[in-house]
Amino acid sequence: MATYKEINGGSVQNFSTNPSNPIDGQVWYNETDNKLKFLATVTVSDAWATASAMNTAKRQQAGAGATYTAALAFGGETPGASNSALAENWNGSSWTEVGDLNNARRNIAGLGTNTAALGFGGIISVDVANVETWNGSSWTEVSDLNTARNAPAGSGTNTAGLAFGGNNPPGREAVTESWNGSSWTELNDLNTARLGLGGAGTQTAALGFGGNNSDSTPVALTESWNGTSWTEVNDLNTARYIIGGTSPDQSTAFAFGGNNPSGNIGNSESWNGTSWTEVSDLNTARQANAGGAGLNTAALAFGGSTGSASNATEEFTGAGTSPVTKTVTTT
Amino acid sequence: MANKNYQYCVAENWGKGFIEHSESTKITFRGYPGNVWQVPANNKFANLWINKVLGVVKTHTEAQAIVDAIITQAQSDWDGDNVDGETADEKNLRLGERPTDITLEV
Repeated sequence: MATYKEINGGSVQNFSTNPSNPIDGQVWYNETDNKLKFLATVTVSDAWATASAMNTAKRQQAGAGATYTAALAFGGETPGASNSALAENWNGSSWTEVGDLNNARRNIAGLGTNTAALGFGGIISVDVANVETWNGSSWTEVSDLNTARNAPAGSGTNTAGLAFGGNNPPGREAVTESWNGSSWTELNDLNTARLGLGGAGTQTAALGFGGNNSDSTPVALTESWNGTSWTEVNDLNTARYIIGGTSPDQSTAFAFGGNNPSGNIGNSESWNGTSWTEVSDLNTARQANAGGAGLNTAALAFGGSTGSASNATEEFTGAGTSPVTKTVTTT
Repeated sequence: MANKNYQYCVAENWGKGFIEHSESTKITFRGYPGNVWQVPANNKFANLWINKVLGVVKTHTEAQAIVDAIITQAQSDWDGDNVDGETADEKNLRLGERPTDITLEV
C-alpha cells in the first residue's frame, strides 16, 4: 500500500497545537491531543441566528445598511401606537441610540448606509413627502418628494437614490422618483402600483418586490429597474406585503418576513439576478416592514411586528463552505 | 399514543447566542407569541438547545393555551387601536392584518 509520503510528497508533521493557517486537505499530528487531524472544507447550510435586541421595539420603521454588520433603524411606531423619531445604530454586535429624526413618523422608508442614509415619506398624521438625510450623527431635512406617500421602497444612496411605490389614499402609488442629493425628479412608474413592497439595488439598477396592490391583495410581483423603466421579472415564491428587503446590489436582493392571508410569515428568499430561491425562514415570523440590512449572503432583520411591536434582531448567513478541523477516526 | 413531530418550550430570547447559526442549521426553530418555541421532538439537538436556554417544556395543549391568550389579547388590542380618519386599508398597513389565530402543530 502506498504511504502518505508517496502520495503527498511529504511526511505528516507533528504540532503541539493545531497549525494556525492550514490549507485544505492538510494532515497533521497533534501531539497534545494525540490525534491525527486534517482540514476539510465542509458545506454549511444557510440559517438565521438571534442577535442582540434593539433598545426599543418598533414596527413600521425603516432600515438602512449595506452590510449586516453596520445598520441603521429609524422611525416607526412604538407599542401604544405612538409615532417614533428614534434612531438606533447597529455596529455588528449591539444597538445604540443615536440622533432622532426631526419628524416622528411611521411607514417611513429608508435607503443608504448607517453613516449616510435617507429617510423619506411615511405617516405623521397624514401621508407626508418629508425627506431627511443622515450624516452619521444627525438628521437634516432636505427637499420633499414630489408625491407624498407612505410605505414606499427605496434603493441607492443618500446622494443617488430611488423611491418607488407606496400609498396615498385613496390609491396605491406607482410613482418612481430619483434623488440626486438635493432634489427629486419623477421618472417612469412601476407597472403595478403597490405599497409595502421591498426594495434593493442602486439608483440605476433596482429591484422592487412584493407589496399590496390596488385590490388590497398581497402580491409576489417583482420588477427590475434599469435606470429608465421597470420590467416585470420572476415572482417571489410567496406573495406578501410589508415585507423586509435589502441589498445594495440589484443582483443580490434578499426578502424576508411580511404578511399575507395566512398571517405573519418568516419566509426568506434570495434573488440571484434571475429568480428567487427560498432559504431558511426567520426564527420569528414578523411583518410590518421589519428593517433590513446586508445582502442575500449575510443579512440582518430587525424589529417589525409579531402581533405587537418587536425588538428582535436576527442575522442571516447564506449557504457556503467553511474550513473545519477534523480528527481522523478509525472504524 | 400518537407520535408527535414537535415539542414546545417557553424561553425568553436574550439575543446573541440564544439561537446560534450552528444550531439553526441542525434543527428548525419557530418562535410564537408568548416566548413559545417549537423545535423537533425526539431530537438530540433540540433537547440540547432547550437545556441551553433553560426552556420550560410545555405540552402541546399548554403551549397552545399560551399562544391563544396572547393572540386573543393582540386581536383585542388591534380592534381597539384606531386613529381618527384612518381607513381600514390604512389600519391594515399600520398594524398589519388583524392577528390571526395560530394552531400549533402536534
